[in-house]
Amino acid sequence: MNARLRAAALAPAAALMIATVAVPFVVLAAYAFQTRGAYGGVMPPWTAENWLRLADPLYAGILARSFLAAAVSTAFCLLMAFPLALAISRAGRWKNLLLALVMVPFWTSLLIRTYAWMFLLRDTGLVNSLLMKAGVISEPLPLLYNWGAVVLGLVYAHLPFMVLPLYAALERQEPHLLEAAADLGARDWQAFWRVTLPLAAPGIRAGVLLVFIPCVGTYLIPDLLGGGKTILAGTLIQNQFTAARDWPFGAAVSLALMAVVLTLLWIEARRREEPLL
Amino acid sequence: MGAHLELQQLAKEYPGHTALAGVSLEIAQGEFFGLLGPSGCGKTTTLRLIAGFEQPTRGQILLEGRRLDGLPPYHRNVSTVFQSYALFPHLTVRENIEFGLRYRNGAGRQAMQECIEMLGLGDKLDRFPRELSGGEKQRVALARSLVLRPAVLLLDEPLSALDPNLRKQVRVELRALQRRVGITFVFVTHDKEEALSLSDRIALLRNGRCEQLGTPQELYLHPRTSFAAQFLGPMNWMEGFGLRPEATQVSRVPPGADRKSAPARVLASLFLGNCIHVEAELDNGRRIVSEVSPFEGTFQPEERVIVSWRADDEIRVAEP
Repeated sequence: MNARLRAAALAPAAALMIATVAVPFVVLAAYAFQTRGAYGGVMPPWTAENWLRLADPLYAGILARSFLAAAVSTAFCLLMAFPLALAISRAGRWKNLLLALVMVPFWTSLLIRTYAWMFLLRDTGLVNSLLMKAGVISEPLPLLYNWGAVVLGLVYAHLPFMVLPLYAALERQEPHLLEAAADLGARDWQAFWRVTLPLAAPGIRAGVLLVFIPCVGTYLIPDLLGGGKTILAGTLIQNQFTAARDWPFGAAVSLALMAVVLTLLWIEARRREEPLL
Repeated sequence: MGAHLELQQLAKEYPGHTALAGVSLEIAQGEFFGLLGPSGCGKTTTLRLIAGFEQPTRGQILLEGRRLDGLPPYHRNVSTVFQSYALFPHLTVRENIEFGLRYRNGAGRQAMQECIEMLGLGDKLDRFPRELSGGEKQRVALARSLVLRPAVLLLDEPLSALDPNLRKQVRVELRALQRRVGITFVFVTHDKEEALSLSDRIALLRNGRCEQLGTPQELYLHPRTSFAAQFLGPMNWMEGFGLRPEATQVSRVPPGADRKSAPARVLASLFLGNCIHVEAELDNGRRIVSEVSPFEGTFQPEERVIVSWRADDEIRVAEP
């Protein structure tokens, strides 16, 4: 392909990325160093005030909670996805069907699926009414609008993103390696620990990034399943741009979040000795 | 020689398929034993049953008189060198060799050092398997198993993954290694030349049964069935007996009285350097191939010749 044709082929995607990523990033960066306008928007003077506010325990706490919620959700995803991916990778001719089932949730929008969880978990929802009918409980359990519901929603929504890279890493492993480990004296769990797990490390890293990053900035799930009681970074940002009308601070929080995520990606890229960009 | 490793009526059945239909073998301590046969004959199944990767449907495996079948692989004092070598890709050569040492109370460091020297891996210890050549990978796989001082070393097609140029050399090295360590080697191959050159004794398997058991000379020179005769090398079938191509001679003059002979007509002659393949049609219509020394001169198509052989070299099989 000659250079001109290649440039022409790349232009639409490049234009889209510039318009929707690069330009907003510059705008956001400019906002983050200005002062809030009375009715939203920004105005001079230029200031570092917004950044100093991030150190406020209230906001630092929200950011810390966001990372904690993302870390806990990622951990649950990993613990649940690993056995699943291992089972699928050893399922012989059922592999493809099982993989397709893992991806079935993507056929419906996340918004609808999250609403479905609300119908399941609310006081008059399926879980509570079944338990009450069965006489297990007399009062509905507080299943919705709390941390548990948020983490449940995050784990549910991101599980496939953990399963797929783990499966890819596990499926590549030569089956004879486990026989070799047993042959050399390793019990099943020792073989798992010394062979299966280390060889799955690239899949684990990929899965952790694929789950952790969207979880940190997530907005929809904590908003719906947390009921606004559990403010996370996504909700904080959304609030600043709407109700609070503090665009500069919203921009600063966004950039702070992005900086942390990029740092994580950079560390990961350095581990693999690959350039980030 | 008492049996060191003994298979008694060993059978392995899968749904709708019998891999091994009752094989009994006695393998002596320090023997280099070959399991030879075409694909699907049960040779790899036999190896996997001894290793413990699969359990027999019937029969027993005894090592030094103790039952081996039923034990998991990690409790058997045998070790396998896989056809693909199955080296752990995330571990260095050193870590691969050390892998089993923590589970088996072998001689440890001392054995490790000996194995590394014996297999010439001293300068490769910090490499990863992907950085090794095929021959080096095999030596690591051998070291990884031998360091545990197993009673029996099992080798699955030990030469098949190697460059053809390397095979002959490794064959010699493997034989020397086995002599040196004195461990019983049981190996699987579909390659008759490999089996003949490496083995003290060979079990030729066919359809899950042992077709013939014997030394390489016995199998090659005195096969008991036409399958055995043909599997071990090319055959010319005559009335009631067979002849190896190299047991026949082609000449223009009548042979000595100690030889049987038959007049023939040359069909084709192929000069291969170390020998000449002469294809000839006997006057009774049978076609034979004779392997003749290149120093016998050349033969032209349509030339009248005399094919001769010693009566002792006739191979008589149980079935035609």
